[in-house]
Amino acid sequence: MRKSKKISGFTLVEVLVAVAITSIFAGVITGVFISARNAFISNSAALEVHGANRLAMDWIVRDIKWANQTVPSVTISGTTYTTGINRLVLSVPGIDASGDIIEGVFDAVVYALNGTDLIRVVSPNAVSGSGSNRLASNYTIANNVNMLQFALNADNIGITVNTRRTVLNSRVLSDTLTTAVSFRNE
Amino acid sequence: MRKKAFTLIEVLIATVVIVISLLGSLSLFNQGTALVSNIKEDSVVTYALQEQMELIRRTSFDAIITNYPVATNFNTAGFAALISPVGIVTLDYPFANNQIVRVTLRLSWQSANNRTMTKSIATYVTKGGIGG
Repeated sequence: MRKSKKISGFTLVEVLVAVAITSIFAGVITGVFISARNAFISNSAALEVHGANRLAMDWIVRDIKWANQTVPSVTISGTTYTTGINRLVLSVPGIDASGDIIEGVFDAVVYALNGTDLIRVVSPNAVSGSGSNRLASNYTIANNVNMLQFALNADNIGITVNTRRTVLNSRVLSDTLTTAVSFRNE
Repeated sequence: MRKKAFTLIEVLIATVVIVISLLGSLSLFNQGTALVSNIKEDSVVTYALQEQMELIRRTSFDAIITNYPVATNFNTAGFAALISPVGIVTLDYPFANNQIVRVTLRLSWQSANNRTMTKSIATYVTKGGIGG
């Protein structure tokens, strides 16, 4: 007889309990997944921001080491750059074809902010003399630079660079580096 | 015939155990974040140490010995970004003739995750200059 045979299966209550437990479980896993994703995004972006900031700092440090002094201002293709708290115009010894220093010839290397882009402008012979083989260039070496500050001290030049980027809609990643460098060719 | 299956209690306990172990793994993300902040601090510290080293290298052998006769504290602009930074300059003479001084800069600070950290850099300065 069909009726007497008990059909095995789940009751409604059992199914509901199973669904509830699965939901809680899925919720927890989703939470873990989202925080893992956020941590990954913000940590890797923080490292990127930090790397970009260090790169910018290392460029500036290297150029100051090469330089013999700062100059008050220089005009490169119609734009005048003036040394100040946010801008640096360096006088760098000119070089010949084999990279050796030419006496009495000085190129200009400028660091300035163009919006939030840190630009490095190089202009051979712009300070004095002629015949330098250094290539003229105008590159953006870092983006999202929020602050660029120079301190023109007697012994050295202090540099502070702050790079800032927003990730995950509202998390602000800010990275500041400070150092000071002396001229090597003074 | 009684079917073998898990009881509700068993399932709940298993769920709780799995959830706890998952929450435990969350600390891994915190460790990652702490590591990133350590990396950033390390750069700040390196630049701060280099800043002081630049100042010292500008001076002569004799001036270095006069200025830092004993372990001397130093402070640079880069210290502003660190928690309780302490910088110390020490000199020693690793070679018998005392014509070469080793300048060691050591900086200790509290990391953002409350650990005491130390980093040092060193350079040699000769009395007569290289080949002098």
